[in-house]
Amino acid sequence: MGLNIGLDFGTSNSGVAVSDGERVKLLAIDQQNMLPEVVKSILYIDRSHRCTIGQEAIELYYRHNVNRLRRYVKKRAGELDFRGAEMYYVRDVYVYVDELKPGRLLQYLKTTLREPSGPNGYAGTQVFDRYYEVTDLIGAYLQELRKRAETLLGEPVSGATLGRPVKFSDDPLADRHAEETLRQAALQAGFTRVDFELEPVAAALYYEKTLDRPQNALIFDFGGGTLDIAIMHLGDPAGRRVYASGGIGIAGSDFDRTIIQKRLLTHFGQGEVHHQPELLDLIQAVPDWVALPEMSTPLTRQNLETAIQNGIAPARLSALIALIFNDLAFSFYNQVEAAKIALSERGTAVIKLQNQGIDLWELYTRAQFEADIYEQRVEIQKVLLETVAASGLEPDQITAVVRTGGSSNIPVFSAMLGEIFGPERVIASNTFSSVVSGLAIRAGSR
Amino acid sequence: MITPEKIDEWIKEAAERPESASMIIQHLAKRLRYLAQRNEELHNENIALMSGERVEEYERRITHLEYQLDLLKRRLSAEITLPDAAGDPYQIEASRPTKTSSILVYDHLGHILRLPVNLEEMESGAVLSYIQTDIARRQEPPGMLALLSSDELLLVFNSGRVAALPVEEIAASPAGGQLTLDQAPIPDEPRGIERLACLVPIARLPLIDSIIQVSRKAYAKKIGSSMIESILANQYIGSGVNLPADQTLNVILCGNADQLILVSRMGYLLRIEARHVSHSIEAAMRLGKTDHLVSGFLIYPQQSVLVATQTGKLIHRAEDSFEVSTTAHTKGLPVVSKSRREQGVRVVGAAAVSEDDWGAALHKDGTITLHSMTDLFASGTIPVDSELLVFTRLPLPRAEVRTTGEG
Repeated sequence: MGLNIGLDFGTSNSGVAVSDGERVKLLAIDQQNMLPEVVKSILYIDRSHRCTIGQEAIELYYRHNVNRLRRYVKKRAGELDFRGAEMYYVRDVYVYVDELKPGRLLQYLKTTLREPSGPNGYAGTQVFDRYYEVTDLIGAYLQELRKRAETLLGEPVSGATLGRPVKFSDDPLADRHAEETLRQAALQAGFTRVDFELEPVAAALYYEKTLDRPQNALIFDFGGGTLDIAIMHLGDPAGRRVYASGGIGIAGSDFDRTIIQKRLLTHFGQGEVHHQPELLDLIQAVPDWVALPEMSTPLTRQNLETAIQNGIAPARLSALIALIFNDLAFSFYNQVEAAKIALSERGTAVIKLQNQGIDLWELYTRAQFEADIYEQRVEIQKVLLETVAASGLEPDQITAVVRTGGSSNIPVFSAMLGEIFGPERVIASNTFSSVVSGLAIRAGSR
Repeated sequence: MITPEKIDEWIKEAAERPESASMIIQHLAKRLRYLAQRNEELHNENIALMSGERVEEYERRITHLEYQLDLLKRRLSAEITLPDAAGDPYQIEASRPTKTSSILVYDHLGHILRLPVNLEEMESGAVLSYIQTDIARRQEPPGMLALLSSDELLLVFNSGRVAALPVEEIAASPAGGQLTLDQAPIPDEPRGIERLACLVPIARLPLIDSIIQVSRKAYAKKIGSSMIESILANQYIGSGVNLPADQTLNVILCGNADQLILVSRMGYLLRIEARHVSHSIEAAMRLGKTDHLVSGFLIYPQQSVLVATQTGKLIHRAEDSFEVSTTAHTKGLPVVSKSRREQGVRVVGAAAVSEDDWGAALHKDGTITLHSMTDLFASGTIPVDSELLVFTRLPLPRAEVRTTGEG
């Protein structure tokens, strides 16, 4: 019989922890990541169907795609039925497929669980010559996590307690189906014992242990990919109740994108390039780390070099060439993320990228950051208040607000919670690991 | 890019959080320092551009690149038409590959006899030419090098001076005639007491990582490819020796991963890695007092080593039969047995060969004979009337992409 682990399979990031009953050990599951205890929920499948995850997957994706050859061939994808009042015809649909594509990068795997299989749902995808169902995709990701955990622990791992949102779907049938799909994927990944715990409950487990009497608490789980809010009655396991849950797909990675969009695109020609749609498309693609390697084609280079020769923003477009073709995108996104994290601690940070053809330097302040994410703040506040309203409780009936997740450290959000519920009620939990720690405690107690 | 709006935002940050003010100043000061430094570099660059210094530098680089391109063209035996505004871009017009090689026989006075070899009419064992008896009278046997006629040649003198010239600029001697080395052309006359030490084919110069200068007393020095431009421009490579009586045996063009074989007259062989050769003149092999190197060449997988003695006897060894030496304090592996050595058997030449290669031999009576390796591998000897003076490999067009010739 192997070990039981807590496994937080998140939309953007995941984590693994193990507990011996007294202490929780977070596993450094992705050594290449800035935070080794966090692994990005990204799966890369290459032509030989070898699966890689996390930072390794991203690096492989970049290595395989930057400056690679492409050959587009027309392939029949299917057919469309057109039905009019007096006519009916069928039309073939063709797509252009890059037959030299070295692999497929898949992200946001967890969202596939929200959409039940069926005519409008997501059942799976074709990866080269093989069809992967949702259980295969998630199973492949979880299997890699299990293997890494076994390597780190030096022992076989056979059981997992997985986190799950309060609701995968509003439809109870679809909700059960999503949990069952996740269970099947975990079994396929080699776990023999699989059970679930609600993510907000796991996040509040540390806090709940300190309670001597039941109370209402709001769990504000704000990580890299999503914000999850749950309002619960805690402190009495028998009488535990979820009043309301909500969330929004805004989190850390969206803030990174916003910083790039609002502050850094000028370094790559934004504002100096006009009436050149093909160049503007390239500049607009900079915030999207998945799109950028796809841009590294000879045609792109030729377009950019022609523009430089014609005197269109030569320095800025040279920087864009360097970013796309010198494999700098990775350092660039890391710099942006590091600056954002630094702004939670101090008032200023510098985003810097110096290499052949590029000299990017941007002094960025917390005031600028807060102004830049104003729209997201408004939306987050709206969702927060809506969830509180849905719980039927007044803000002063919520005794504690437990904030967890990396983005909950951003001062403007702590201040927002303080303003609504009172600063004394806002409690910071284990920022990066409260969910996975809670899951590990639960797994260890089985 | 620092805009007024950004400055206002920094001021706002400093006003909201006074502790940020000092950090902003620090960041800006650091950036200013960097920009000032960069500005000075650009200013210096500007001065170099305006004074013409940079132009001269680029002109020198262009000249060197043109020279390298010329070498490559010779190597590829192709005429490359560079794109022009009107023509089709990158149109490559390949001419027929050269079908001739040349055998060069040379002496220390700078005489070089060029004997063209028609590769399509070669016969194994055939006599290519006959050089009149002055060879036998010479105290020091002449050198011989076989190379493609389209190649470029580097003349290396014992003073360290070098001179480059295309092989085809040396007048070809009539085939089959009675030739005299003393009357052969002198393309570059040795100056004063200078002696012509060796000839080196150099068309591969643009493709290599370094050159290794090997002396007869087994001293070696490696020179990086970045120095080649200066060597050719200044016509000086250095004597490459530590001992007064020594002189350059060969200059070998090689890559970082290449392996080198040195063979001595007494029949010792050493295999070393090019990357381990020092950049200063150091002993590569321990030789006896009366011994000296006769060959230095590169070896690649699929090749074998063929060693020729003055009696015409050939010693054939597989490429993997010699271990790579990691130390210079060794005299190498004996390829000639002790008893034969005591009987006076001496090595006159060695080369890395494969089965479809050809070899050329210079005999003491002045004849030059050509031999296919298949025949030599089968018979194990070169028929000799008098004595063998030099043996070398004859490179073929296209197939000759790696080895640089043998000493």
